[in-house]
Amino acid sequence: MNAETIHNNPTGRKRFVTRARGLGLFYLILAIIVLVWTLSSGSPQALSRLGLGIILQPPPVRLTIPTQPSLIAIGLLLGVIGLYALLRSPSERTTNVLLGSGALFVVLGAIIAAAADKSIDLVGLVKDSVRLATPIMLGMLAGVMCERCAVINIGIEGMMLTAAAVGYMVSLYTQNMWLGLLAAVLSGGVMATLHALLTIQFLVDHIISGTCINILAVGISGYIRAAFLLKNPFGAPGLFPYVFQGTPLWDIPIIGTILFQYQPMVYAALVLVPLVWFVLFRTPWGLRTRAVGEHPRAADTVGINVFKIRYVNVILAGCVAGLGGAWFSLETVGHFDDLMTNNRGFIALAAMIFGNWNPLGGAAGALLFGFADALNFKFQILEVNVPYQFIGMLPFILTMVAVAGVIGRTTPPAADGQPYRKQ
Amino acid sequence: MQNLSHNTGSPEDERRVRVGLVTDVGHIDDGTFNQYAYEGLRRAATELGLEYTYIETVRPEDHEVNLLILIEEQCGLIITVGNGLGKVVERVAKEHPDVDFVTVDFVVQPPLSNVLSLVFAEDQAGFLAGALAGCITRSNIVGVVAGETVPPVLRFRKGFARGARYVNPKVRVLSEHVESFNDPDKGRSIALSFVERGADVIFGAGGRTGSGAIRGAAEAGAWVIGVDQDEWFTTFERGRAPGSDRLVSSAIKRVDIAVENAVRDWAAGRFKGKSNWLGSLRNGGVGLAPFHAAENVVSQEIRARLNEVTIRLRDGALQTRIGPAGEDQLETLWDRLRVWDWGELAVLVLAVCTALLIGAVVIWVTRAADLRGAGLPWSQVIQEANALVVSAYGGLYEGAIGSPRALAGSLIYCTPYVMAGLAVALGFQCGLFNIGVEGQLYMGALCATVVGFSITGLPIYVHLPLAVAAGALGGAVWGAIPGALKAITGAHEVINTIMMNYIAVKTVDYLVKNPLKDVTATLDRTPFVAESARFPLLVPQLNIHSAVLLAFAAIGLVWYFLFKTTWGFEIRTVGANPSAARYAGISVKRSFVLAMALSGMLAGMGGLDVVLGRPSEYALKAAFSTGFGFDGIAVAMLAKSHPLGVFPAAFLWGALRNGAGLMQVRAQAISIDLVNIIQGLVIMFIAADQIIRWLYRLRARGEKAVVFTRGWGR
Repeated sequence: MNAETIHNNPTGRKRFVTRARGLGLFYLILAIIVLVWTLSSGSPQALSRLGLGIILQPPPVRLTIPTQPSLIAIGLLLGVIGLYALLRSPSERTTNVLLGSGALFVVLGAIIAAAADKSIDLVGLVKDSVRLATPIMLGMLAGVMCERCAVINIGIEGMMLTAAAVGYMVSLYTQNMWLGLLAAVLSGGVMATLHALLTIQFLVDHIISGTCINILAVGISGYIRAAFLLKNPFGAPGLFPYVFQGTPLWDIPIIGTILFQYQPMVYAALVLVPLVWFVLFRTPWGLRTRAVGEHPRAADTVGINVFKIRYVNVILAGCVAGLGGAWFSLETVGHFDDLMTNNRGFIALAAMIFGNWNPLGGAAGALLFGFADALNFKFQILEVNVPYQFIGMLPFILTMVAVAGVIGRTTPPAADGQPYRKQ
Repeated sequence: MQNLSHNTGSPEDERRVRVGLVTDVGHIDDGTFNQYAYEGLRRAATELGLEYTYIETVRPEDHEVNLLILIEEQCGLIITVGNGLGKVVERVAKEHPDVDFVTVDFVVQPPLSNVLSLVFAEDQAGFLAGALAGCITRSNIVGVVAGETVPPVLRFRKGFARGARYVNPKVRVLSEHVESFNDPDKGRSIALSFVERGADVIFGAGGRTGSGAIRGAAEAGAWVIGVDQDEWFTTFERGRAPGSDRLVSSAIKRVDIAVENAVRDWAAGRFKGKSNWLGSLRNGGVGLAPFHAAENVVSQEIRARLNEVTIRLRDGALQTRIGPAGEDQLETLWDRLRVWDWGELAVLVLAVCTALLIGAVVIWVTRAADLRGAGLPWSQVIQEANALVVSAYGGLYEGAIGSPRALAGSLIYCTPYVMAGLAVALGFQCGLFNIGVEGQLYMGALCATVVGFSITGLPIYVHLPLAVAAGALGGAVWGAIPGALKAITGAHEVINTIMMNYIAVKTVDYLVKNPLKDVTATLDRTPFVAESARFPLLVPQLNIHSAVLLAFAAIGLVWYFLFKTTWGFEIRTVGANPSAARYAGISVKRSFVLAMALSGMLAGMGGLDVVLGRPSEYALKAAFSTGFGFDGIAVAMLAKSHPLGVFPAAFLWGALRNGAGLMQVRAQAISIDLVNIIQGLVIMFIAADQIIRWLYRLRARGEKAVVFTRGWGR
């Protein structure tokens, strides 16, 4: 019995049903599905072409690999991982390695299977993943900022939706998309102020308040659309420009595509992630925030103003969510549709839990969900024989698996969601 | 670590034959449950020849150290006394599976195979003491001096009050808690103040604090009743202490017998870990002590009365109506009407009115801004804006309840809201927030539709119930999954139900567009369900279908389930206070799963009631729900989670939605989304009722805030 199992098993008894075994069983079943599906439906001659760069750009750099043998290899590898985990129930660290490598194989297998007799552009896939991960990442940051000071925020969806509508409305009427961006950020902040008032001042249940924000946002944004946007007297102001377009950076093969072909919100997210991490974990303000999230009474005792910390964090979080809202209407689509945030706010919460309330981990989670989204689009374009609804379900299933603790224990801030009264 | 024996503490284990006891703060001769537990241990151990030892806890911080010392000392069975030690046992017992524990007055959660918990029906003992007090009082005023507000004490106190009022409706009960078990002086001064206010019987329920109270009261000449054990032997020193002739009796908990039996069982290898033992009148675990010097005061009639009360309590013919956490369980209509907070109703009505008012302001401002933009003079702007508000709300009213057709439409509209609202309310009652009603609705509708169109040739009285059952089952399964995940892994139901909403919607989307698609239809929908699987129309002209009756039946059944059955009671207890529920030995996990499954079932029935009931449907479309699940949250909150409140709330909602169409027609500039704003505001005003109370200067209620949900992972 090694140190780690003892740590996980306070009883000292070695449990038979371990996380590793559950994972092993899961991978084993997956391996069987992969093998059976490959052998029964694939054609032996099929080739998968994986592009590295925009395919039409000369010269097309491609990996061409035989579909069926590589899928069988992946299936067998998964089987080995599954059996190993199932039989040996390895330590926590090994399990994590197995989990990671298995997930990599699954993704690879999915791409190879989808590219059977077709081409998939890997670089484009990465680029789309980052782009689609942006609103999730911004929402995730908003969630982390709130929950680190113990305010649960399930109203991120509503804040983003409101921001998308208000931002677009202002940019339409002023014909200036940067004023629109400002309005989006501010309206996110206003919705967050409402959430802060309800939860901090009136001690309303955080989840109820978040739900209320979400319902209000549907109403407000729908009303704005009907009352101000439909009879729009002006032309649409257009989208945010690409930041590096026209510079030499844009044209660098592969790296240029992956790093420099985005619009501003993507960079905002990529800058904010390390920034929020730094503020939370390396500055006095961050320390205070986390103290308030873990034990507000103790924080209060040492002279930290719990209410101030919470108000500032929640309102700033709303502004960040507002940036996420601007991504929809001002950066991607160019107009406002009802419910256009399409539940990204909730997926952002999932990414937050995925990342264990840490911005860096959360960003990884957001990228994962962005990748699932990108894959979903690609599969629809390629007319892959997997219903797109099922690929669309993947993030949700992954979230449930993550929340259940299979991917590792997640620990929310200790005081998360609890009202605080000054004594 | 490898050498640890997992032999669950049987006495054969050479090294662990001693039995140890850790007291709650106090001594083993302090005349409270510490002493009783010790005596039980001593009796059993002496008789069986077991070695035994004890540690008296001086400060609460020492609890854990004391336990560890006893484990070090090779004790195989450790008895812990009191609520305070319980939490420590919960942790220590997990780390030492080879040692068995008996906890007095605390239930560990989750149950551990090496812990037996001893709890008592203090409410019954208190009820008997109260009955005695009610019989002997002449001033019709009695007093309770209680210790810390922990469940056992609350049950003594409230049981006493109930018992006194049961035998003597005219009696007035004074009571006060002292937040310590070790403050006899404070107890004494409170008791004396009660006596000054005319009380002639004092019940002291709170360790040494209570003992101080009854000694003081007895010396002042009042009748007194002791607690926990026969205080004649302890507080009144076998009659030698002054005032002992005033001690009428004591409401006792036979901690000694319970501990003695537990030790005997353990020694015989029959230790019943993972369970609770409840001492009640039925097994002699609680009762009244002898009358001692007050023998003559208690007349034959009084004894007969007490006897009758005892028997009725024991056989369950009489209930103390006090819950495991010491909470009141009001049962009669009169009781409930009397405690009904009428201000509450005013808040609800005002919340709705205020939301409508704000809606009017929004309409007015939108219109006014528009017209001003067009350059009209103010006078005309005001006139036009006013007219728009009037026509919009006029349309809303007329479309909702203005005509029989509108009324019928609202009624039909409200049936899925009733089911969704009941589903959310049931979850709230268990402290769970089921945001997954939408998904459960889809699953219910899906299952019912599949059964509805795939089977043909059955008579309606077989086919319709079959389809309904399938839908209910589909919703129940979909709801039970997040419930089970919460119970097993602690994953918060909110995040899981949200995720399962999407999974359900996407599954239905896929099925309806592919394998289940009716190929003859241009729209993405399933084939129509068979005639025999449709709810018959009650009033064909108005499309009122019989699923409306189903909704009414569901309201009644949910009410009965929650308030008249054991499972319902357990669910409510878990919702009110999970740790108290645990204390009472209720399985919190089972309640979670059950409540979520039932909530899902109701939601599923809401879905099928749309598909099988409405002539405009009769088949499942990809996006058939218009957010019933989310409206359900609003309905449940408006109903304050009470099933009987669900109908008016749902009707209001159905009427608002139903009227929104005509509102938009009458007032062209106004979006139907206004109803969403109003809805959000209503939820906000109900959740933060301080806003409404402040706006309308309503008196605030006490500290009894309604808790709907809890944070992540708790």
